[in-house]
Amino acid sequence: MFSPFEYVKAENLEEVFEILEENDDAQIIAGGTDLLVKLREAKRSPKTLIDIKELEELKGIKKEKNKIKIGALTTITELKNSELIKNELFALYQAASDFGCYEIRNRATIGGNIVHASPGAEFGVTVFALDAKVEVVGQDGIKEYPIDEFWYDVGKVKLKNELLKSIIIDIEENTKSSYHRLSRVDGMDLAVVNTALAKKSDGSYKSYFGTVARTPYRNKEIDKLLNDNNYTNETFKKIQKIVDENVSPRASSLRASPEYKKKMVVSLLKRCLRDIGELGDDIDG
Amino acid sequence: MAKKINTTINDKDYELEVPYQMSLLELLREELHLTGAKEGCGNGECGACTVLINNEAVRSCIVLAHEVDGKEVITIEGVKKTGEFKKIRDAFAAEDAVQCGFCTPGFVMAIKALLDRTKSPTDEEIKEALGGHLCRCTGYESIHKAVKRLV
Repeated sequence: MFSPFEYVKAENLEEVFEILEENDDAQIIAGGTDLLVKLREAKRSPKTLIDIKELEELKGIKKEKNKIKIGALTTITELKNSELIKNELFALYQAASDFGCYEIRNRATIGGNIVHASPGAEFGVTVFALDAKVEVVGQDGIKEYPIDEFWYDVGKVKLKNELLKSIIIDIEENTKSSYHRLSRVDGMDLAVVNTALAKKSDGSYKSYFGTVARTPYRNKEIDKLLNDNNYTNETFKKIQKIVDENVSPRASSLRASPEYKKKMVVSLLKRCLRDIGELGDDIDG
Repeated sequence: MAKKINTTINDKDYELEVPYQMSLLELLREELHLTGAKEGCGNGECGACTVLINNEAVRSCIVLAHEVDGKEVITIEGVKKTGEFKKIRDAFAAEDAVQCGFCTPGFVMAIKALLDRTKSPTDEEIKEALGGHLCRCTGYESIHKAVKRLV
């Protein structure tokens, strides 16, 4: 048994906002794959759980002109099985494929993964690299934030008695993308370290590294080196130097040492470049 | 606090008074004495508690009993009555895919869900379906081979 709480299956958004307004200690539950583990470990003990799983407003993957809108309640299985996602936003398909295991993917949602804001989240580095925007819904209506404003610290996102509604990604702006991670086992694990890369319509790149900082980490100097599009082994030595000088992953991580993570994000960056066909065989690693 | 839920478990309808903080696994094992699903890790990591909700494989230790209100649950006890179970059991026996048996109900539920999705899964699909299940006795080769026998 978990510690006692009330449980409400929400039938509409208004009901959710009302409960959130009235209770300081209410907690949203969607797939529950993160939350119930935290409750069991007594890392959180809310008085009320509000189950939003049935709210249709937060579901579905839609293409609207040059944008793809992903409802926060979209399960990882739905993402993985979406032809639209596979064709247009390959990094999200790769992230969905690596995520948890089959049963977890059936239950976990992209919105849940984002609002938990874990440093190695599959839908951290990927949505940051893709310049996603998020729609947040509250009593005052809908607000939109760039993802790097919304997700601002470990476990912290800008939600105040509000819900994450959808994730919006411009598919004309992002021409190619890739995601890679390392984990201790393939079958069911969290990322030890991960990297996502998106190529933009003007030919520039955005790369993000996960688990090396409190939030997905980007360094513009690295992306500038990639922009030259003329990589040699020397380029990656320079990138490694920038990583070594600028990030300091916490030493207390159970999964990997800071030194390992710093080396691996550069290796994963190469894998991402190779994925999108932009790394020659003459490059090591 | 407890409240009533209506759910169908292994084709039988139940109206149950269930505390909010009870997991689906606890409801199955402790209230309904359906002890086939096992609690291994209690964190959704090992797969021993796998059951189907509306025909989708899930980990019942990280589902609340109240979340299956209005839904249909199938456990290993429900599968045991079917001809499909006999085939899976025989394949496990032929490949020595069972030793202590603790993980077996979870594997069988994952395999049932896999074969419901596709009659002839590829090696990759088998690995995907079983990848999140832990076994500490026979290992994974023999279980994989057992599934291959069913294809």
